[in-house]
Amino acid sequence: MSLENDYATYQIIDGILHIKYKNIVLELPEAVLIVKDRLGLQQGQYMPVLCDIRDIKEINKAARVYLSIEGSAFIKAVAFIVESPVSEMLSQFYLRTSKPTIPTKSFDNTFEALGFLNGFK
Amino acid sequence: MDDHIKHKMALINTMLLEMASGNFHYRIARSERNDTIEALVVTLNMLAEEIQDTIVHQGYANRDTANLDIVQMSFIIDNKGIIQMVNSQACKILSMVMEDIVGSSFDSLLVDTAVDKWKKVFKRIKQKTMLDTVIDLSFRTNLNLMIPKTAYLTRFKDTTTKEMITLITIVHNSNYQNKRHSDLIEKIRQDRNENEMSLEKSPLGKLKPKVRLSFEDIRKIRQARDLLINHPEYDFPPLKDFALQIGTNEFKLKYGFKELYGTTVHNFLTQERLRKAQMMVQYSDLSFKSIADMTGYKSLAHFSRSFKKRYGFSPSELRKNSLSREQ
Repeated sequence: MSLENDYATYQIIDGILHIKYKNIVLELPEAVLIVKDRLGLQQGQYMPVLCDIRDIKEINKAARVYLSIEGSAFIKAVAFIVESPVSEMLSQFYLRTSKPTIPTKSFDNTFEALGFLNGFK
Repeated sequence: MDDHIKHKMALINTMLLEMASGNFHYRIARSERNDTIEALVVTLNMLAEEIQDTIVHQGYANRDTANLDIVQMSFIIDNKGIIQMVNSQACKILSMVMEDIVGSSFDSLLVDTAVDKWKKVFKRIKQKTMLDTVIDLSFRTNLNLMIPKTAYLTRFKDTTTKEMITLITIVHNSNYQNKRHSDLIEKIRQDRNENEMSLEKSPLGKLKPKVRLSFEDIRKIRQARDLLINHPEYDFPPLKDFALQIGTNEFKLKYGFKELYGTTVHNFLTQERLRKAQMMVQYSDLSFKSIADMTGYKSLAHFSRSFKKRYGFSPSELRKNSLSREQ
């Protein structure tokens, strides 16, 4: 199952939802739409989520707050995929200040990230 | 040094200087790059956002909601101080109809104490042809409540009529409308109490206990907040026992929580429970009974009541709406 909107692509592979964010500036309206489409795809199922944030340009505070609380609905755990210094800082800043309510970790490769998420399936 | 880095470093320095002098409104534009200097830019932007929010809150710590900057009221007034235009939001806030506002003098909207202040400033700016200034004014409402606001005045010449006009803009920081309302009520109540206290001439009356929270206290209160957010489904014990669980006392928890998060433990928990519940109502087909269980409500009736009270619509109305939109 997969889906694409202006901000991200979604794919459910082997019980894990893979979300790849596009090269976007993430503000509240985008965050709300991203979460809405995700929940539509999940159809009420809790899932671990692999979040590829390597291409995100910026996330503002309203979006960070929304993603950490409302955006955590129906998620068992999150693994961020980071690479550039920007994506790494985005992830670190988010983890430190927005304190997401579900297990969340940052990885620089998909393999390890999936290993972490498999524990939550 | 690379020109890009040089340019960015100059911007970063400027922004740091602005922040050092208390201006947290500036941001640096992001480029297409993703290198270390851009990472610093992103972090600095986010840091400024976080500090800005903390300062608006005036507490020790940051809140879990982002502030919204809303232009609330705009007025255009002519050289005599008569209102030529007003936006509809302003009419709503002042609980007046547009016809009553347009054509009346701007100072008729202000409380008596603000009128003199306004007149002085208006007289002064009338002598200038171009000016931006800021003034704190209190507006009156039908309910006898004051609306203290910071007004931004811009004076300019109308290009067609060649007359000088003044634009007054009032920006407001807010997150939840009801929070703003409750804050206002709380403030008025406090003012009233303080007035009564000073009238009583009691020397002890004014000595309100001012508690100093240690870092340890703040850490514990944060821990309490994390517990509430992460486990809205728990049946939390009475405040006194909850305070003991996290290693503090009821008074510090009560006072500190309000100081840090601007609300009571109880209201915060309700807010978080309903926030979670709302997502489940909207985006799943779980029964309302299960949602109530998962968000710590003992009965469906209680859950539905709290939900409706907070959002103004019932869980079933929201679900029906979400379902019909999907089709």
